[in-house]
Amino acid sequence: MSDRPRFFLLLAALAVITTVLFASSVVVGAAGTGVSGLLAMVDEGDTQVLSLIIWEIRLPRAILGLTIGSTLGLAGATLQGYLRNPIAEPGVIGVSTAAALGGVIAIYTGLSLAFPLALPLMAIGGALVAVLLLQALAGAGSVLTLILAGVAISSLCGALMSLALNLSDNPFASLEIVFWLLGSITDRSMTHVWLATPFIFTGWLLLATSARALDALSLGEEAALSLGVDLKRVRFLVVSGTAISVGACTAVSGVIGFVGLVVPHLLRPLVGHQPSRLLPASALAGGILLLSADLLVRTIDTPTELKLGVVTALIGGPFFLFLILRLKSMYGV
Amino acid sequence: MPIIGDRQSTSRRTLARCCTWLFLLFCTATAPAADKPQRIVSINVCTDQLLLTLVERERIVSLSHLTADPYSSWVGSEADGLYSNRGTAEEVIALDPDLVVAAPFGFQPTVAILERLGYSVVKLPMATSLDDISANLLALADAVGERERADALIAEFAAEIEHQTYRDAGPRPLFVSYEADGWMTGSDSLVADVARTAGFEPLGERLGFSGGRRVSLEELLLLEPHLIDLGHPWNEPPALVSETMRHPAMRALLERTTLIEVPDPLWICGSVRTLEALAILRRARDDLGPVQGDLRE
Repeated sequence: MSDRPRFFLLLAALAVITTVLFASSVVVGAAGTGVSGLLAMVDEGDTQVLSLIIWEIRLPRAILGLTIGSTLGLAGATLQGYLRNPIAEPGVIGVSTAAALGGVIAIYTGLSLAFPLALPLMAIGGALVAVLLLQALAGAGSVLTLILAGVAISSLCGALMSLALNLSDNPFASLEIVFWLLGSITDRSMTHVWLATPFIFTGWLLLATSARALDALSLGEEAALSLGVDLKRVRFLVVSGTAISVGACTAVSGVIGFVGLVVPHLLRPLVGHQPSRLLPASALAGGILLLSADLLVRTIDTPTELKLGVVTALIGGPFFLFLILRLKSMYGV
Repeated sequence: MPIIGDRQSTSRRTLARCCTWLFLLFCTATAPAADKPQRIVSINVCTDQLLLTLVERERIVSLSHLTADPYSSWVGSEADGLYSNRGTAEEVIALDPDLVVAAPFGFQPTVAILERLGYSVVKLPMATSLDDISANLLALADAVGERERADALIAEFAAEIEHQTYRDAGPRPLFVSYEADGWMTGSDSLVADVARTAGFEPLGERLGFSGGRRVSLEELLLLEPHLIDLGHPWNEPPALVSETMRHPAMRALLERTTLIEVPDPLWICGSVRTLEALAILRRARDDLGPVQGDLRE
């Protein structure tokens, strides 16, 4: 266990970067960028506007960026470990899109107006159906079956979502397809934080509990069984943990793809290919990736702010292609 | 055999042509004002309004489908009974118009086909200032043969603008029309021109952008406009769009500033009724009185 200190060093480094990015997320924005800009506003006696901006606009955005990024990183790492499949990721395999469909139904039918919790609950429901469907279709199948099943679920849910939004009599609904398919955390409020985080944390707890079993599973199912792993319990932890955390995230941010794909792959060599160590590291790095992406979209000067999914796909898309090339050379798929 | 057949059909065609010419001559002789188009089709919600101000309803065959939408247009029941088109070339051709009125934005393919097929099409650009409204009225008047009516209307229009123009010097209060989902128009828009004329500084001018874009709550909060128009909220049926207005920061801002309501159709399109929007803003300007220079300047 000589690499133990190295692992903790890695976690500490990731934690420091996360903290810095979280702080920048609160400090950087349209209103005077940087600490000096904020202090200048305090000097001008404009503390009321300043506190509104910090507490009601930037803080919820930073919290959501961190927790959503962490969730996607964690869920990606867990799914890859559990399915022993290198391309498993909530976005690629359609879980996020299914969750978004649940969220869309909750919002556009007016259900979430009458009962706010309906939004995360419906999204979690959508995610749960997708995860169960995937498991049934491609649980122990090849890399290819999982991709195909994911593409099918993702396209179907995306189409149903577009259909629902186009059928709405509200002309803005069809414009909001972009939000649901590409994701954003701009101008979200503390209400969204309170709505999503309890579920997100519950999901994290379930996923984290599966860490030890994932280590055993990396040796294969039979070896895991002989080591005393309760496969039904692991399945419950991974499926419900993914659905609850990813569902709650998607309900407030729309689909943000590729974070869960890229992050675990980059970190796996650094944690000695051990799933239980990959989970916390991926969670932190997922937060780092999403916070950086969000800082980027608010500082790049585009006429209309970029959606987060655009940035993550620009990074993740080429990475996905690279991954396929590598798989091809490894397995001759 | 084929030769005889050809000859027969040629003579038949000549006969048909002669009849057509005779018929056309007859029409020109009897029609009330033959030089004026009598089957006018408008395919854009903005040109619909201009057309209705200048031309009798009997000469209009069809208006765009958006005209019936009370949130986009003030035309309302005036369009009842007219064919409502979606601006496709096929529909327009079926209506057999002698003049098509179009806006160049969003309908380029339709306009291109119609022009290629020889229809007479008058294209009116989107009005981005009060002056543009007069220019559009004049251009349309020439096409429909109502120059006199237009001249009278424009004189009245100009006099009213003159009357409503705010002339006091001093710092101008900031005005924003913050539409659903945070959309607003820039410095080169009709809304901005109306606001300037009424004595305000439009927020699009302060932010220095043209066209339209989404302005985040943070930017809005920072500039803290003196007067806000929120437009139609689009709350029903429910969509994400209504969430911006429910944001705690937005609610806090609305407590600190003055809210007015300018019905969207008055200035989505430039028409004679844009004067009503000008009057609403001018009254709001007078109510505000002299303002302090911007806090943050």
